[in-house]
Amino acid sequence: MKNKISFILLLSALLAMAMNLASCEKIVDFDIEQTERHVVVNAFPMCDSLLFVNLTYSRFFLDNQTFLPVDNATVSIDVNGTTFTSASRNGANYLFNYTAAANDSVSLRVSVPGHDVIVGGTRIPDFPQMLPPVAEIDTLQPITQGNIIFTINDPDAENYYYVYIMQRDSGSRWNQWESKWDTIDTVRHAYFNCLNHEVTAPEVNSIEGLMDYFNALLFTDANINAQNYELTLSLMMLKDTAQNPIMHEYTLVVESMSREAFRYTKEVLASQGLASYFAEPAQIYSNLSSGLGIFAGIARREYPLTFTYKEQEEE
Amino acid sequence: MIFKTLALGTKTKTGTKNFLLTLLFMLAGNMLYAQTYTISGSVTDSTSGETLIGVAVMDLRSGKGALTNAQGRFSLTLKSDTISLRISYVGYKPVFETFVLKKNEKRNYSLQSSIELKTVVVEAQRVDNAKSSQMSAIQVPIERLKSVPVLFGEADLVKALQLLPGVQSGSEGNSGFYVRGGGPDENLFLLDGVPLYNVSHMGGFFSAFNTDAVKNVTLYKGSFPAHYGGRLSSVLDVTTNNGNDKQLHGNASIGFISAKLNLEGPIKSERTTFCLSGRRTYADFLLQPLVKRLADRREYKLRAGYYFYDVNGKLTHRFSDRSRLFASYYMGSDVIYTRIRTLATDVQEQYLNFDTRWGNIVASARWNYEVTPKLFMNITGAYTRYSNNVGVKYETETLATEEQESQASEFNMDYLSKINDFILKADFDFTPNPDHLVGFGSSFTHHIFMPEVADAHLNAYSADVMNSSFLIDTSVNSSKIIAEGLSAYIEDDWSINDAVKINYGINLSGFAVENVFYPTLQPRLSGRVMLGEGLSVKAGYAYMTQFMHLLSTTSVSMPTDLWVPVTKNIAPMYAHQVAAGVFYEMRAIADFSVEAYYKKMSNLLEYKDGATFFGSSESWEEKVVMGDGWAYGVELLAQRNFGDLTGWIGYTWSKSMRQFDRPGQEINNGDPFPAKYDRRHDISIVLSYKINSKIDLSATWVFSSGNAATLSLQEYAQAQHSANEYADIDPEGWNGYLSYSSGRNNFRMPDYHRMDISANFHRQFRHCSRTINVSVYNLYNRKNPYMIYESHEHTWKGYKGALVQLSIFPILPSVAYTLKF
Repeated sequence: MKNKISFILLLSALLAMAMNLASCEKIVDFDIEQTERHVVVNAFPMCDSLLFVNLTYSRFFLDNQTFLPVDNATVSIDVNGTTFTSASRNGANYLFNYTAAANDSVSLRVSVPGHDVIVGGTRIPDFPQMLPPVAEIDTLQPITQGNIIFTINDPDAENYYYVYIMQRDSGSRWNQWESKWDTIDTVRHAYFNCLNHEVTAPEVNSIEGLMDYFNALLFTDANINAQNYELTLSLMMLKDTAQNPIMHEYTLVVESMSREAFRYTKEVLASQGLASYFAEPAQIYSNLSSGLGIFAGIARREYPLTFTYKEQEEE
Repeated sequence: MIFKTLALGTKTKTGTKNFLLTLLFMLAGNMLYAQTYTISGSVTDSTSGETLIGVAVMDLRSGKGALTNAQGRFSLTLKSDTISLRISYVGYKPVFETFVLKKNEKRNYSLQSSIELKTVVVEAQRVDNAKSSQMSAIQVPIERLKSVPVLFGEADLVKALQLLPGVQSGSEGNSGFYVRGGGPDENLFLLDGVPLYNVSHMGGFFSAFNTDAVKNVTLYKGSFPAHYGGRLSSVLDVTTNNGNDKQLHGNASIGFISAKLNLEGPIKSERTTFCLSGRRTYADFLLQPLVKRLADRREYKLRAGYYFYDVNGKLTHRFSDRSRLFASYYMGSDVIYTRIRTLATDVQEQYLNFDTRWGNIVASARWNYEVTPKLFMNITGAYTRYSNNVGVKYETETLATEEQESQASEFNMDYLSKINDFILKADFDFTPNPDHLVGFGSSFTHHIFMPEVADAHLNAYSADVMNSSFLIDTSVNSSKIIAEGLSAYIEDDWSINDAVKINYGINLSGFAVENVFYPTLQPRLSGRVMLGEGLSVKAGYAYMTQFMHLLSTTSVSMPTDLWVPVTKNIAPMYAHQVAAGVFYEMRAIADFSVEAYYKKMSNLLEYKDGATFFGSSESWEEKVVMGDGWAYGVELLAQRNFGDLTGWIGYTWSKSMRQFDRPGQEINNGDPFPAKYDRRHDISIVLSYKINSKIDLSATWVFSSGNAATLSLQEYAQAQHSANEYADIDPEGWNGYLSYSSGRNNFRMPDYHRMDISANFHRQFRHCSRTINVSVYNLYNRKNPYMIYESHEHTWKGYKGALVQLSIFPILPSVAYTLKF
């Protein structure tokens, strides 16, 4: 028995030594070129909104810097053949005296000393055609099952959609409602998960390209083109949360997107998923000629959600 | 003259008689001129009776010869004359025999091992590399492979082959195989002629081949003979031992991580033999008390471990000298298990079981029959399976109390991937005369693929509400793909004259899947021209097609790697390879070769940017893209196969690129990028020295340029969906930032080099012998890169970031003990 214990101890010591030796780490040098900053253009020109472009520098991943604004850029846009130069700058945002309209064709030119000229272009999509949503809770239990149901009338064209829900509590800042229970004062109030969704459309049971990422639906109209279709999102919610819209506010956001915005958003969301830890690092799509970021049109509709009880209606 | 006689003969009876007489006279004259007879038989080891593959049987007077085939048989047709035969093989004393050939002869030979003779037989140990028409093929004696210093004292066939030029390892310690710029799935591993899908154990640190069970290994890197097909880059043909037909023998060994047992011998008579080998790692047994001691509490118990095992079995029965039956079986598996029992409350227990198993099963039966002395036949029926299964089981049990009734729930989740192949094939070797060796045959394979199936099963029971139970049973992506593979080939190894020899053939393959049929016609050609004594030039071309892919996300061989077939949406991969080289045998010194190659590959498959096997409801076909690749390089090899000092020096200069630029399928924005294991330089030096019959030493040194890796060295702000132009930037990136890499595989890891040494101490006892192997891996403790990662550390002193290299194997001594009886 004593020999056995000694043997095990010896083996354990050997293994521990091997494991200790095995975790060998050392710092690796890198080329100085890899530390050079890039100009980053970020802009989602939005239908019926003043147009602005956000310009920052990238940072080397080992530098604990903030993203510095680009303050010496010359920025201009060309809308349907008319050129506008940025009128003012607010931090990193270059502002234009132009309100984007549906179907505008917009091209961008950014010139920063010491960097190549950056150009890109997009089209501003029209607002999503849809009916206001219905949000209902249908049980008597304290934690209730609910649905948010809305119908999109898809125009006969190539369209891309992005659907998510914003929430805030007691007048605080709006945040995207994530796939978890909202916790307010340590009480769990509501749970929303886009994984649980249904699509109802004539002769169609699912939408091609429909993806659920971080509680957002991103999809194309590839197989529902020019149809009216109904989307149902399911959720769970405490009765008092649903009954108190002032304390707990929820807004359904539906965006129609340009093709560039769709591709960028899709790749950003995919890169943040758990699967990305097992994948090769991938470069996020950019429609800019020699820079990073995105310049892509979107159009947004927002619908505050008011939850109704089925049992109340029945009463 | 013939036509004239024929013309006359049609007119008169006398003419007809004259024609027949003339024809008979000519045929008889022709037969007399070409009076030949065939010597056929087999060559075996004199001690074990094991058939020997690749033995040279040569008539020294005419210079004509033949090699024994995979069953140890040969056929040599020669003119009637006095014959002076030499039968020679690496490591064996040659046999000479002179006789007059006047009829077809059946002759079996037994060769005596030079180890047994305790002498060095220089002449017999030469391999005629320069004379063979085949190029880019390497046959390394299994004893040589076993003598290479090893990791954890575990001899590994695949890792020894990685030391040859043109063959690259993946990362440190990995038995992944990358041949001439090809991917890990482009290698055909044959175990007794049957494909083996997964050849890795322990995430790739060890291969599935137990060297105790292996008799012969041949690696083809290009210019493939027509009877091989189905993969783009290489064929590794492994033949296992038939078993000793004289008496029961065996060996048992124990190493740093595993124990092995090999038994072989006759069953009742010499006609039937068996060979049985088994291997299992045992760290899980030894560490169990430690795990128990460290983890166990009253409310928490943990059992966890990892092991792998493999079993090889072979039964051989000789009906007659002309007829033999072989039955082989292989089973190997890796298992990771974790069992956690938690006492959540006094009345509630929770059990969490996590099991991952992956491995192969191969079973085959082969009938080898000598139809005529010139025609050999092999009929094979085989089954091969690869499967991996990741299973999670969670159970809760709540006992009944005064407040509540008993409750129980059980949740199972399984992720399964599986391939089943049923194979039927017939192969023939025909030797019409000493100048031709014709091979032909065909095969049929019925494939059943289940690339990915996720099962979820929930069963809840409560005694509270009328003994109610709740059940969910569902499967996701449960797709079964059935495919049929067909293949036929014909090839000829033709000695045109003493200087020129060619091997030409054609392989006709087809794959039927999802109502689509992909036919391919694959020509193969290789040839050599002798320029002088021991000096030859060779060139070859091969067109290869592959009907299945391995979807892999990491450099390590993981059970999550998926074997998937071509489908109606995914086209077959194909490759063209040309190679040329010079071969020189310098008598009594060494053999030298220089080979250059260029390979063009199409329809290669990769996961899309950001996609993996994991975490998406998309099927695998939606996660992949197709592209092209090309590779070229030069390989130098100097090897010495005889004498006390043996080994080789290999050098490879190579480049391997990929491009995925098809519309909608771009990787790296459609620009070319280096393949994952693109490395410019690989050097290996392998030396073995036999001091005396009791001690031999060996050493290896390897160097390779750094592997490519993708690193994102810049970060930038993520665009926000905001309509508020007064919302300033998010300077800290709290709202999200993105990583930027300048391209796929944009970073080079530091160079890799390492030296290993080993010594074998043999001792002969009365009834047995023992060998103690002492080896040291990574002798000078080089910190070689396994992976590079970005480190971000926030402490009270501030922020510190760095690029960190992780090395996994420092200097590792090990000991293995083998008892042979």
